[in-house]
Amino acid sequence: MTVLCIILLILLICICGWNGLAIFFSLGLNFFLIILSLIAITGGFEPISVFTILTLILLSTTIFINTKQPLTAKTAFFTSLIIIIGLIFIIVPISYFAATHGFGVEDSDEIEGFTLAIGISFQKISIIMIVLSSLGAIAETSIAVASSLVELLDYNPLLSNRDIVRAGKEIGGKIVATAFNTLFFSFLGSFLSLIIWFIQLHYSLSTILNHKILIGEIISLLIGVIGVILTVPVTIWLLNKYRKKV
Amino acid sequence: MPIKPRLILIISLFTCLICATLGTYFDSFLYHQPIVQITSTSQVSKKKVEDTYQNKDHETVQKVTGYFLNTKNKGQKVSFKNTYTDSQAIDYRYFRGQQAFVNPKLNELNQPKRDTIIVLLISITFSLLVVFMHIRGLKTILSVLINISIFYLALQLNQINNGQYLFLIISGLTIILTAITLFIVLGNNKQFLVSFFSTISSTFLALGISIVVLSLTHDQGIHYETIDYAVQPFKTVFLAEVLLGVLGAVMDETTDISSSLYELKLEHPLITKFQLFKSGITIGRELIGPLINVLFFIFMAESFPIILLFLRDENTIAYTLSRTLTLGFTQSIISSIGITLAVPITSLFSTLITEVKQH
Repeated sequence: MTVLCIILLILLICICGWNGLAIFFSLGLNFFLIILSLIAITGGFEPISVFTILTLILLSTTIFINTKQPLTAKTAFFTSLIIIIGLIFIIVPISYFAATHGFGVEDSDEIEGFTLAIGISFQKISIIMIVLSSLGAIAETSIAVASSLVELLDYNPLLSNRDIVRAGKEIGGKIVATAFNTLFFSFLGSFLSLIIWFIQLHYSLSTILNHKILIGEIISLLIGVIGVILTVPVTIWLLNKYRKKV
Repeated sequence: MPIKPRLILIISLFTCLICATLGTYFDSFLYHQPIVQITSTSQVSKKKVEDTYQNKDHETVQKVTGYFLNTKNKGQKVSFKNTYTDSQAIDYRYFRGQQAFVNPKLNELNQPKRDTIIVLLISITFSLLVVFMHIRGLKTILSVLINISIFYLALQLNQINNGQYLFLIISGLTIILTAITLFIVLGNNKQFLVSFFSTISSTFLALGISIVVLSLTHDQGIHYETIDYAVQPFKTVFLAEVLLGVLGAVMDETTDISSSLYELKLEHPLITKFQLFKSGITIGRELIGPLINVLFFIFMAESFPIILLFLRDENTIAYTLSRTLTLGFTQSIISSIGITLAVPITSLFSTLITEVKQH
């Protein structure tokens, strides 16, 4: 594992120069911050408040380390924030109705011997997991749309708001399609062991359609996709709002 | 597409989606397991509980009243006692309006029915895709449906072979899914070739390097047996997961770089090979950081519940991480290597394949 980390570091430096070092250490920092938040939650801090702070920090490191252009960074940051707050309103009712929090029957071996009444609401944890899964994709999409539009503005600062909307929709459609694939395949990878299990044990379609773990994962994926789709119009809107003040 | 056919298409799609959602709400007659519609709940008792690690929780008993939606007792009123904790690790708190499965042997509630909510969410996602992205949204939906079907068929094939050729099957699956997805996004052109070859080479190269490194270091510090649901053989399943998981991110990158370079080539036909390659690296650099984070957050989030369980049971942080995160972390690192490698590889392929075009 250490060797792999070193290989990654060398590759990043070769290709991105010193910024590669920044990417590598921001990854380490994010890892550290996530673990620290989990320890804080274990220590009795309210999960949602800990996570609100974590989200703000993760968004900042993701966006400001990777984007040097101030207008792009500002637009991407506030877009992501608006989208995540908006998504919470969809996530909360869905996670209450679907009740995919905690552990499934298939986890029994793993959690055997643990006491389960640990006094931390797994429902809240599941909301946090869904937000975190979509966070990266939302930030990435917003950066991509904003930076393409800022580049257009650099060539022609006289573009009207309507031109920006038209260009943004065109660029955005393409970006959403590829971001969709990023999310889709990363979840497909994690479905693998579960689906092998389903097939080995001949689960019925009705069991699969109501399966706690699978449905939980699909919800994470779909919320991410919804977030990514809505990111495009919000990015365009905010960029038009901010650029007058530049 | 002219306005009218598009409108008809959108309306018929919406109708289908609404019907599907409503269908799953009234589909209980299709299930063998008894299902109840919950009409009211009330709290019976609530008491404090504490485990050996001084974790404080509450155990609440609720009375759940409802009526059967299927089986021969259909329409009959029924009530259950249900116990849940504040943490709800494996138990549920039920509320009015939910539908839930009943375990007929124990005469207690088993779990909530989830098909309606997931079909509703799928419908919302598909509608948004079509409303915001029109034809591109439809293509995306099509590619997902095809990909899932092939994925399922591949795993059936794996089952027929008793899992012997899992890695081979997943490798083949990777190539087919990449080809289909990129073909649907890009169509049949040079850019498709560039993206396809770059995606395949970067993912397999990253995985190859990792496999070599992992065997040279004797998998030091990695606990394959902690893989979810302990599906055998651990290491192969893990590597197959990594391969599939990184594919989307690398495709995202290679399409971005190759399409930018293609446009650059159109604007400046006299650009040299070296300049083209360098522009590819410059464009790609910007993509690496955000993409690595996308995957990293997803892989980390999956382990939250189990990490909390370990930590609350007074395990040390080092032990907890070694039992819960080594695989997720290794997956992130291998994926990051693939994402990084994709930049020079795509730039190289773009240069080579655009060169061919000139002759």
